[in-house]
Amino acid sequence: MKYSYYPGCAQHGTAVDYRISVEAVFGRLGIDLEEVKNWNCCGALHVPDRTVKTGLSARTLASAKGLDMATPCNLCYSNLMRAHAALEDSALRTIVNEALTEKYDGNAKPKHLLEVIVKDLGLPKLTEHVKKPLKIKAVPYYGCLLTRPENDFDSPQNPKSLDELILSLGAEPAKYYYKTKCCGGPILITDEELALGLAKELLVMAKETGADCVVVTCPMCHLQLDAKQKAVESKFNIKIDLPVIYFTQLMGLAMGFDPKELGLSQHLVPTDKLIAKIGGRP
Amino acid sequence: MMENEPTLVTEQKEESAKKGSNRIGVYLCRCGGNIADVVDLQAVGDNLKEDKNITVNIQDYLCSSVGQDKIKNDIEKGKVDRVVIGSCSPKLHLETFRSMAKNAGLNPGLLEITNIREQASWVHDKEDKTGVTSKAKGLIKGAAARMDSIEPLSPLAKSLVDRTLVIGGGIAGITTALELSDSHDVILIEKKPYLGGHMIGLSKTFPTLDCSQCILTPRMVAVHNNPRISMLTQTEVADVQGSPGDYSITLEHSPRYVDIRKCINCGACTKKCPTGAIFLPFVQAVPQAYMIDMSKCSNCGACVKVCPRDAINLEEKKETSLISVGAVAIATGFEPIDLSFIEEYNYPSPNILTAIEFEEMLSAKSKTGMRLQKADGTFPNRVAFVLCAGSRDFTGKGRKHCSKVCCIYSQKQAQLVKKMKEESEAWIFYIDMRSSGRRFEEFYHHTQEKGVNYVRGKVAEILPGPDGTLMVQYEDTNLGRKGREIFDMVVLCPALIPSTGTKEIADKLGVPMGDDGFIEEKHVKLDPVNTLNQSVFAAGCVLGPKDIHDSVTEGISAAHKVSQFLGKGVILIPPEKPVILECNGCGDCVKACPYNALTLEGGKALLSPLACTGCGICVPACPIKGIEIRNFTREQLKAQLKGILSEAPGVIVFIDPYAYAAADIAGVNRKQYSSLIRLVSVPSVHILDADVVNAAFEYGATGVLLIEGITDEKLTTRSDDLYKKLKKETRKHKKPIRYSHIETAQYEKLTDLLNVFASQAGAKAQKMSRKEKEEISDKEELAS
Repeated sequence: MKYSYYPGCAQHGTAVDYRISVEAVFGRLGIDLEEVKNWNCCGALHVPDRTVKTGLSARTLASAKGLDMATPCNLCYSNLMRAHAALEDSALRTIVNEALTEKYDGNAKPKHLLEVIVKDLGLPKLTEHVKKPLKIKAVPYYGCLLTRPENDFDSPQNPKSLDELILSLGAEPAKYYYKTKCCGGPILITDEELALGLAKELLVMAKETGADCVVVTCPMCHLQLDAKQKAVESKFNIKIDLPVIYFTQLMGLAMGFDPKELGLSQHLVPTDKLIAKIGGRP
Repeated sequence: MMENEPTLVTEQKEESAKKGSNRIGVYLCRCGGNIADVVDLQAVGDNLKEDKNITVNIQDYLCSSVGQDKIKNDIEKGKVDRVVIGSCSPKLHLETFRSMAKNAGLNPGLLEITNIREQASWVHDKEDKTGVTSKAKGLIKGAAARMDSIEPLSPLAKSLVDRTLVIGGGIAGITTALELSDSHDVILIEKKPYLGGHMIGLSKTFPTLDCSQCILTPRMVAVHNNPRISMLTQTEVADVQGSPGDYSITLEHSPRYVDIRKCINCGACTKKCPTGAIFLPFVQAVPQAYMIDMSKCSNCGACVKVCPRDAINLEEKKETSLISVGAVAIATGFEPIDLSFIEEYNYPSPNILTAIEFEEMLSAKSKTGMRLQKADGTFPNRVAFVLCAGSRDFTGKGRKHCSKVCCIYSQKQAQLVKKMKEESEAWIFYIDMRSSGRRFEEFYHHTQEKGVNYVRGKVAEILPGPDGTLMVQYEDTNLGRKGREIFDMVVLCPALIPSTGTKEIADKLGVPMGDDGFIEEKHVKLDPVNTLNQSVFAAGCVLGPKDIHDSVTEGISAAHKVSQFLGKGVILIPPEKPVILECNGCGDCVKACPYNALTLEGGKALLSPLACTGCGICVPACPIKGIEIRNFTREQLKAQLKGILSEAPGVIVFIDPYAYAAADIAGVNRKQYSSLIRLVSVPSVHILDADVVNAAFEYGATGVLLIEGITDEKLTTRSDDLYKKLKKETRKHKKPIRYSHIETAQYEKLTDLLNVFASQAGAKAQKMSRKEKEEISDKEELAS
């Protein structure tokens, strides 16, 4: 299995732990992720002009070299998907292609890494690599952009792929009604109060389930729920203390990697208790 | 149970046709402007002037007494002895006109209707007056030509079986059965182990708030005690054989493991049962008998030993029985849509329930001692009612229709909450509050006075939170703002859809359904409890969501209609049956007949007219063309086709009565298609052979379509062969021919097909004529 790989900015910045775990886990699974050269920003949520925004993703997709394009970030994924759909419009495609050296042809289909694991590799295949079934309860948190715009990967309102992944690793997915609610990440700079309020709701409801950790698929969500957890605690005067880990880290733990090999020591909310419960070395 | 065998009552009378010397009256109806605004009727009439045997008359409304009297007078005075009417669909008024003709002393079969409204003026481009008028000219000319050659036949009559099957033991079925039982025998079957349908699971009934079981139980008991009603619970229809007025129906009975005739309801079994598998469904259940849930039973046999009446048999198996009935009333009711498809509502979750579950909690079937309670057993202090859950939804995910009863019952439920605990809160989230109906607006007003909160707007999301609470996010369109409220209980008012199995029953009985899945009425307004099958009737929610009052009204209506049908004692069957003109005794027709209506006797084929359905599959089967269907003979069809195509080329569509009904529905819905389309009604497409189709092409048809709507697999499994054979044998004309199966409800599919085919046939015809012209000019060049 081979994919063209679009890491997005976070993998080289705030989400180094994510990158480490992706490399470890995908390497073990034999899934080749070939990073595209000279990639650009996906536009995040901040480019209002549709043509420019579509063009940014078109340029990335045009460099896929005949492969499908995998990405670890929900925001990148959502933007690639939107562009992929928008470029069905041949008029827009012509305008965009005029600006591109490598032309967009629509052949590369964007895929989130979760989709690569659940749909392309398949959970039965993943189970073969599980060495240490995780006897924990984990909150599956998809974020708001993984399943939007509506796609053929999972349901926009009640997705189940991450639940199933958690289950296949021997852990119990918590019943979590906030699985696709916004974490507040994209508005943290512009409206911190609202952003922290949204994160608080997610964290409180996650804690309510009695789970050992929250599992995320997006570096923005991770930033908001892990790095900002302390800020939420002090702002609302509550105690959360809930580790937030990437799904690739959860996979890595079950596949028998050392927590350090997965970047688990780089979290702001300590993961020691979680690791101890799984029976790994802290 | 096969007594009361049907018999042939009347023999066919023979009269001969007097072709050429008939006085044919053609009557054209303006139908206000419905027809005349698009079709130039004067031109249609003038077109027939050359024929001295034909007189033409144009009226504003032929169906009015003035219009009918004109025809009647002409018949009585001997001015006309055959009648062709150009008007709306024969499905609407043929019976009216024919009974008028009969009263005037004319054989009713000598009056026919050509449909120039649903299949002409309503379905073509209104600007294309020339095209539509040309079509009407041809259709009427063809009909007159056909009328000139048809034989005056008398319908066959066979006696009816005076017994009715009522399917469904809810309030509609109960009412139908009770009303009928005064004068007819009834078999009432119910899928569940007890009568009462949804109504027995209701608490109080709006708008009077009387208790549902208090008004229903006496009716259930009356059914049970009625000597003319055989009540069979846990019973479903497995198979239907026979024909209208005379059905043999196989019923399937699921095991109850307790003999309801022996059980005296003493409860000794329940006391001994270690697993709680044997139980009485509920105190008021009819029949009053215990039953066993086999999924819980450990097969210990304790109940068998303790039963004083020897009523229990753990070995009971599924059984079938055969019944003979003349009429069927479908009252299979509704079920709530499965709301789990609305993912943002998170149903099912603790304290999120459907309105039906809410009702059951407070009804005879209650498992909480008729107390309203949350999952944790406490009373919900804040209850939200969410209307239109899954209904009035045009996104394709839910149902389009309004469930009609939710506005009023949710207000009743809100009143009950307030009545049980005055300081509790009830909120109703609605899109539109619809309280039409006698006493309903007053009920709405009264509910407001009780202090119920109304929010006009759709609920976006229901999120389960801590301690079983529920957060409802909504938009208040009156205040123009979004809001969120925490509730203890959310009641969803689900779309009401036809109950599971409606389609199977409808298919077995040959009754069409609408695209919403409910049974189609014979006429939406004028024949609301009849179906297109004259011996099958319907009542209650299987015809669409409605309240108890309306279900009872329909039950009474259906009983009256059944009674009227059975009261005639006989059913008339169309006389258009095969006639064997010549026979060499080869037996091909006997082999071809799917209904065993033909036999060889003394080396000749012999027809049993009662077994014959008139499908005509024997006609093309006969190698010496010795069989014809009366009044649909090859010569008659050819004469009609010649007339139809005499004006202009067009596409000939042979259509059977089931698909014909689809074309009528398309007309009522004003679905547009090409005016090149000319429908020719045939009893079945299987009467056709290459002789007729080739004639159509020779007279100028640019294409031929065969459209079949019947669902009987005995015929439809042979349609492909028919099509292939016709295609092969008409190949020399190089014109398109196609077959399609279109059921009555699929009128959109029909109009799409007609449009596509008309343009294909048109394109091909153009290509051909270009080619011909080229060939001619080539020849001319050669000649010069």
